[in-house]
Amino acid sequence: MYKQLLLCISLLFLFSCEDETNTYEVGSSWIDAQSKIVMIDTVTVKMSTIMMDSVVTSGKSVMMTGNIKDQTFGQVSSSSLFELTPSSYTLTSPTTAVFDSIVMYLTNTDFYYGDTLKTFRLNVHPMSDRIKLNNGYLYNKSNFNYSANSIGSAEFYPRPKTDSSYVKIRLDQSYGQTLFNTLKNNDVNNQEYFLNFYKGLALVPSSDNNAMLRFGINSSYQVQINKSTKEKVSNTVRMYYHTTSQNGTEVVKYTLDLNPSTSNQYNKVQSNFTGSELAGLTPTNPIPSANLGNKTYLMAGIGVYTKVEIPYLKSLKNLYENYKIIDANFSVSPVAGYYSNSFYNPSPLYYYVGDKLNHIVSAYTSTDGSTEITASLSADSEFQNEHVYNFSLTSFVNNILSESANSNYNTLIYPSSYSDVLSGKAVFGDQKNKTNPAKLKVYILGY
Amino acid sequence: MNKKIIISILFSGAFVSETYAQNSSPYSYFGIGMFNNVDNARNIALGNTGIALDAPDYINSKNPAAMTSISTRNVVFDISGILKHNTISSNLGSDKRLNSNFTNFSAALRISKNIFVGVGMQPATSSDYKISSTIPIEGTTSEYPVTYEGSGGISNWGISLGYKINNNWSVGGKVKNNFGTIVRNEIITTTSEVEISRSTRYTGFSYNLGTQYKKDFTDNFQLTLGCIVNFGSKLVSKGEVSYTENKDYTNSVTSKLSSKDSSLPFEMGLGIGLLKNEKYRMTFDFTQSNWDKVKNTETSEQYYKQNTYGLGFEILPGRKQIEKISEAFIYRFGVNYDTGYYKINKAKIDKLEATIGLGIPLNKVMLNVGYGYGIHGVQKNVSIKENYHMLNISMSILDTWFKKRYLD
Repeated sequence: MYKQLLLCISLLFLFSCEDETNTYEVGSSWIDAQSKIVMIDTVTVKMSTIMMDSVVTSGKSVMMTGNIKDQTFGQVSSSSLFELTPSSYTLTSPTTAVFDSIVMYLTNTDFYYGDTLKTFRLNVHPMSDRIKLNNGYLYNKSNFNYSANSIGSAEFYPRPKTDSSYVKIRLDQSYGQTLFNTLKNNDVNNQEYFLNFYKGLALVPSSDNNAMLRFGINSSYQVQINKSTKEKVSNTVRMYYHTTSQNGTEVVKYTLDLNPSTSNQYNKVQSNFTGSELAGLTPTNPIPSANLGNKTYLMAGIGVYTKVEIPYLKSLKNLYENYKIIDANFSVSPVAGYYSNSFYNPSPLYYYVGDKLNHIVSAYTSTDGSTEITASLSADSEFQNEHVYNFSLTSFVNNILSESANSNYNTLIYPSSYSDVLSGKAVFGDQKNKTNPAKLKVYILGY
Repeated sequence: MNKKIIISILFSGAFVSETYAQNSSPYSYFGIGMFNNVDNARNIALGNTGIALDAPDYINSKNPAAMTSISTRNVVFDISGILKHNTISSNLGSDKRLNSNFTNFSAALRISKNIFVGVGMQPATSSDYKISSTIPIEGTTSEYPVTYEGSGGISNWGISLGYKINNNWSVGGKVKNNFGTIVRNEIITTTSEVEISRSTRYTGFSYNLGTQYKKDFTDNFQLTLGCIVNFGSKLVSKGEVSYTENKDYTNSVTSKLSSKDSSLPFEMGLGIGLLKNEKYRMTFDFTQSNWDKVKNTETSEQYYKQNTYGLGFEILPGRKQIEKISEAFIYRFGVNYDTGYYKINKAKIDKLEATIGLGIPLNKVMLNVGYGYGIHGVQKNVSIKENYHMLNISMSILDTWFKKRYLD
């Protein structure tokens, strides 16, 4: 009896058991982890300013127009060229219709660059060439001729970021009259036919501006143009006419809108670096940051980007037998003196994995593999010289360290997204910049 | 016969599976884990002494020469277990743990008048901890939280041989095969949860010699001297490390862990036993382990020479006629001081233990139970102190096999 009982008790011991598996907390001095986590900030980063052959400026639903003149980028100017599409090819009561006037309404987007306290001047020219897409796109360097004669001009104080702001340009009466007559006589009844006579318009800035403005080709940029009727319009060319009744007493007013095309439209952005800090920059001649006072430059529209290379990244592999990159963060900060309230730093910045020829290989994505990540300007500090952009390079560094062949991939920083290349400029310090150095911090886990 | 079958099943079970004890002490993080007290409850109750204790009715794993006192009941099976309640305290608070374990399976057999063999299986060390701390990010002033988790341990099974030179003097030896896997996990919470799991498998053989010499001075006074030597032994280690992110174990990256072979230290122990009137026994053990010579452990603590002192008293029923079972009870008291063998934060982690115990002789079964209270980390500058209560139970089953082979 005893024996069986004892045997049972003994059997209990066979099954090791614990009642609690709480975690016990100790200070870090008690235990040294076998794994090591080290932050390395001494990896060499090579930065350079590169220029693309051309950038796509069509189909952005944006008319960008203006001039920038400064020591940094020299002269950059943008004209906006677009086709017009009449909302109708017939007039109401054409036999009695009488032309009144033709007006272009331009509605602001929030974007602006430069001196908005100064009068901005722009001219409207009729296109003399048809705007033809090249494989579906048009580029900043695409060229189509427009008539040397202006058919309308505007002088105004830019009022970006105000809802009610719009620019009204009265176009030449003769231009309007011919257009009116064409429609009145029912000479055209489709777009293609219409374009043979009216190839579009060009918004050309006057060379004495020092600002860049954008007008939206999109119904979301509607602005109220009439206080009594509260009518709202977006960018459009509006023709006013009236008809008189049989007895000649009753006047009825009509309008006909001609809308800028969203497809056959582009922004012609030209640059001239002569005499500026970027003198010598061409698509075939990138400039290392060391030759630009330890700085790199970015400007959208003309395809000036910053290329970041980490030539000795693979040497990190030799630090530990087994390793993992926990985090890699690259931060750049805008160099003081190159930004102001009128030339503000863009946010966010976009970055892409580029190859040797500066072609985009892939976007940087978050862990889900599809959401593109960007680098916002952290402007928490009241001191602008502490503002930085943080780029997460973790996946890039891990990819480079695990690749078998040398891909020689680098990182391209864009001042705007790949799909919206028109806005933004910035100047960054490189690793050796005294006031605003770039920093690469790699957190490596050795185990 | 039934009993033999049960015992056989128990033993085969123990040998087939690698049995690890659990410890749940943060100290089991260090080295090859924390050493378990795998001795019989009699030894533990006598202040963990036993080098100079003969073992007619149980298995004394302190000294292989001790089994030479097995007499007519020529087979002994021994099963031991422990129940431990541990209170871990530091300036960050305290925590309680309760666990139970099997600590010993062994058998001994007298195969001839002077020759004795034994087999045994013990969970020698165990690693079982869950500790949270921080890991510094070198090159910065910040740190990441880290959780250390350990499991596994080193077990051994061994064969021992005893030889009775004469009625006073016996010698013995033991060969042990040490084996086991210790898994150390470091779970670091960075932007993601990173788990590094190092699994090291240790194997090696260790050898041990022991002797006991007994002398009766008068009818009422007996002196026993004992001596043991455990030769230092190599622990060949082979390991791998795997990296897992956010518990995604299907995408773990496993690579070889370059671990250097470790070792168990050379040990020498001396024991004295005094028996008066066959009723009062006193034992004293001193053991020294050369841990200072041990290198290449996974963890970076500092080793020093370990000394262990044990003192025990036993009150036996004497020569009186036993009428009730309680009159046959054996009462034991003991104290043990262990200097420890590693320093944490420059503090030696020593151990002081006081024990009481009871021996209950039953028909064909010797039941030894003991209670002990101990402090692990006695020194003032120790940052983590453990206070534990333990209950030890050992059951020794005595039997007679091959009755006709010899006569005493």
